[in-house]
Amino acid sequence: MIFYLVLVLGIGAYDIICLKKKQIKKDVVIYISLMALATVLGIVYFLQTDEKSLAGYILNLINIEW
Amino acid sequence: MLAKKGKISTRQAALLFYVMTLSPEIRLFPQNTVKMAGKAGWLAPVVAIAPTLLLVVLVNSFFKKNQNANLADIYNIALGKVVGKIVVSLYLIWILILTSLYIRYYAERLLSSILPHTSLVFIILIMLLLVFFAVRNGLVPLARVNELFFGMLIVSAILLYILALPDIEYRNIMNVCTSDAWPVIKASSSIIPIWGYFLFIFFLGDRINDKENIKKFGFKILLVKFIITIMMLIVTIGSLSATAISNIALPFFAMVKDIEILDTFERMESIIFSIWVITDFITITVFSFIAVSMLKSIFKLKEGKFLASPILLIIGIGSLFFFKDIFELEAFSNYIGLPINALLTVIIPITVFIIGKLREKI
Repeated sequence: MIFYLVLVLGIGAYDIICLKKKQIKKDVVIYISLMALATVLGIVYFLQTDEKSLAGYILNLINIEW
Repeated sequence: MLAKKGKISTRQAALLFYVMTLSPEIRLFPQNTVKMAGKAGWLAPVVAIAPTLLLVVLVNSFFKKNQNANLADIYNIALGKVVGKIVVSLYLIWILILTSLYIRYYAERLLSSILPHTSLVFIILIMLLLVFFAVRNGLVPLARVNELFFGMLIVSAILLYILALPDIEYRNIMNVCTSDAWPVIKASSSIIPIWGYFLFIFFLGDRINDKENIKKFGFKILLVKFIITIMMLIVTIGSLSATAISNIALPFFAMVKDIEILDTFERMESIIFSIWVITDFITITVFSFIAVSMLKSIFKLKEGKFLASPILLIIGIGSLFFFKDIFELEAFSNYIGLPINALLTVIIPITVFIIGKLREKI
């Protein structure tokens, strides 16, 4: 998880600096939101204790056995 | 001149479509068609080609009035801004899931064949890094390298088919009768959603030139795809038989494994392996481009290439988060993936076209 967080922060910081140089505020906001989503997904994945995956839940939901 | 503008030609877009659909074709078509139509499964592309040609005509009609737009813009024009953006967002979510699925398939295949003791995360990370650099470098270099891949893939496909010809037992593919018609039509339902990726390519429409040639190059590439696919099914069903195929995980791979030249040269599956890695790379990169382009259209952004990193991180973590193992992947692609693909590549575009025509926007 630490590697993932360092990766996200490293890429994020570099990209935001580049975007700020170009002075595109809207792009920065969308970029930060997406990075936040990626971070949350990553943290949830690394901390999850449940064995089942999202696809497994969906397949069970529609009663498909595999 | 095209490269200067950062745009690719319609011919290059058609070639991208050809290469990106190869991986799911090798994986899904032999088993799915045989499960539904038995030994007549090789006839399924004959049925599937007609709706796909109509899809090409439909895509061509979308761009008649709006040559410089992409498909997301056209959906916005036809359905109105709000509904259009909602529909494009649904496409975006599906493209992200689909890309996660392809990355996971690629990693699982490497794990189960040549790299059994490697970490899954490491294999995914390497592919994501490659895709990241490809997306950052733009569509033109990818389209150019894909032209090379296309030539290589056609040559190796023809070579493999010729080498597999002596193994074909004609009783495995002959004796097809009229009662096979309905199963063959049903079997085509697993081909159309994959060939429907032709529509997805045009979400990059604003980066594709000479769109007046969509019909011309679309028909040509579909003809090549039709011949190559039907040959793949004939050699696979012909050499392994329908009964064996329904019990093998990767029938085309198993068929290639049996090829021998003069009892000396064997292990031809390495060719298939390299083809698979190449096509997976192209599929994942093109889908990442499409996701970036959709996001740009939805939020009206100026710079798209910066979105590559968050999108690839979401796709990478999604591939681990969304699927547990290969069985889940297969069940998900067969029972959920194919129907949703059919909805997004056939039903929704037709609906959008009808609404656009009624509103006199297309």
